[in-house]
Amino acid sequence: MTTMTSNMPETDSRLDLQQLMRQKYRRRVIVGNVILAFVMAALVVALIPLLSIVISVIDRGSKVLSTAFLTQVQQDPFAFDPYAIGGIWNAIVGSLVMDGIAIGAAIPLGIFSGVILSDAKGKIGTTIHRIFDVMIGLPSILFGLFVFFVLLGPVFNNAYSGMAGVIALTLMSIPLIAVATESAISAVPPTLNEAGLALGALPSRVMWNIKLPAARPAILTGVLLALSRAVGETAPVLFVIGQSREANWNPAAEQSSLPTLTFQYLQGFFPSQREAAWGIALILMTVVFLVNLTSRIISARSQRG
Amino acid sequence: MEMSMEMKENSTIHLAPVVQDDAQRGSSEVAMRLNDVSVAFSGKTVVRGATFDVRKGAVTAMIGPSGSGKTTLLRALNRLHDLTPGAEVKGQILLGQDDVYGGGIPTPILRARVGMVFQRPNPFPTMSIADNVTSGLRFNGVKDKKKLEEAIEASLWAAALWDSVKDRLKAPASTLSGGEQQRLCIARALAVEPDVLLMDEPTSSLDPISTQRIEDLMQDLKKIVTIVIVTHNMQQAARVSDDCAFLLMAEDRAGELIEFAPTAKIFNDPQDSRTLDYIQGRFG
Repeated sequence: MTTMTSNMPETDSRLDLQQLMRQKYRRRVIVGNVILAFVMAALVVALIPLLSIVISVIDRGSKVLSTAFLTQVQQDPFAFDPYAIGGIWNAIVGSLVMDGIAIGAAIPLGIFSGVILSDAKGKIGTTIHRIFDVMIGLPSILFGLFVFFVLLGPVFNNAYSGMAGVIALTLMSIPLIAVATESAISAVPPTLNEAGLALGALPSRVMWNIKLPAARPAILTGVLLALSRAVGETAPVLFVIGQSREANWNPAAEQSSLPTLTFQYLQGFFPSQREAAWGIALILMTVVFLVNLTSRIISARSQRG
Repeated sequence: MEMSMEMKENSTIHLAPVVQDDAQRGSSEVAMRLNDVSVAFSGKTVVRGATFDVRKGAVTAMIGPSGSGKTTLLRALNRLHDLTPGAEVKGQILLGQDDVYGGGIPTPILRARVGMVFQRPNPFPTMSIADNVTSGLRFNGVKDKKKLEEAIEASLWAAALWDSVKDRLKAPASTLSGGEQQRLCIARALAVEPDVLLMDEPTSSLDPISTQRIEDLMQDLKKIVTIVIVTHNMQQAARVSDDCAFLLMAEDRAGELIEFAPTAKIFNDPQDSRTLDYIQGRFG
């Protein structure tokens, strides 16, 4: 290599420009730092209330938690013994039973709907997709209203029933799982679809043996998100499951649930009831946190391949 | 155009790869016959007028610059355009005696007889190496354990992959290297014992050594399967193919078949000046 000789002269204009850029540089740094400071301030403003919620739930909730609180059923305190609130076992059982059945029913219904959505081309497919999108955005109390006014009379003889709550929660969860399934299937590389078809497989076989297995981690994440939403929902079940003080493993009986008991205790006359609401809040927060953590682990694992 | 004709007459040194003329290559039996095949997407013609015979046991290469419709024509052979709304294939394609588009053969059965290897290796990510190989058989209703077991070894052997994977057949296919994955895809396609194997730029995503291995492999494979390969790499076509179809984009941007001949003739004595320009590297 021969040495390159520069034929670019050191003109005045070049020196002027470089001088100007040097002067501007300090200004740019200052402006950048000011913007960064504003962004950090906004972050702090957003984080303070969030953190204070979490901290107060942990702080006040942990004071209520005890073995008795978790294993005894609910009691009504009275004037001579204002601390006799018993525990929340009836609500734990109710939540387990209702959320379990609701998600168990919503998984097949939602996944099959999602499969059909991912295959449905044209107007009908788009319309169903829109309906599901709207259903996801609906205020959850509408599901409660629907079951209360439309189903409770004819189906449940106007009696409160855990199953009515199950129906409300299932209806709410199906579109979440369906849309998650649809987008998970759409994210499967089209070349895998072609590879399957090019071997002589029928499209249904490709869906079942190639696309669904490849989409499974993302579908599972959708299911867990639907679960964590169902666990925390008050409105869909509030009017329809009653207020059982017994632990009922029978889903058709009158039921209780963690969010509805929280609601009930927040309106309670005795301070001990309002303190107990913090305890339930801590349990709900922990459950939702664990479910989210699980879905994180699943999606991280699937990305590692 | 005149320039190139002149060049052809004057040229004594070929820039193009020299191909040995070997009369023994392939048989004269026809595996697939294309008769004036055109493909259009939503009314816009992408490739037209392709007429040639794919000889049994030979490697037929489709070459040409980008946009000449090579891949489009290849995907017409196993009806993969059926997946694209608005795609239309005209003309006649025969697989043996069966009319591919004339209702002569159900599409899944056609695709089992005309296998395909894609540009990028696409093993099924949730299946093991062994399950990838047997997937085609299982999709086509073969359940016999013994038959599936035999297919694993035979196909991996044919794809020159058996020795390196025989101890980890249950491992996920994603644990293989890119070149190994592509050979797994070849094994997967071979397991259903197709008559014809379509290869769509099978080495375009591979390193030179993996490319070499797949090119070597093709010479063994053509003893058991007729191969049609699309390649943008002229040297590769010269190295691996027996017959060669040269396609070029016409003025209306539709690909056309310019010349079809034995590879030795295409590279040593092309009849069309445009073919000569291309193999001498003047464009594309």
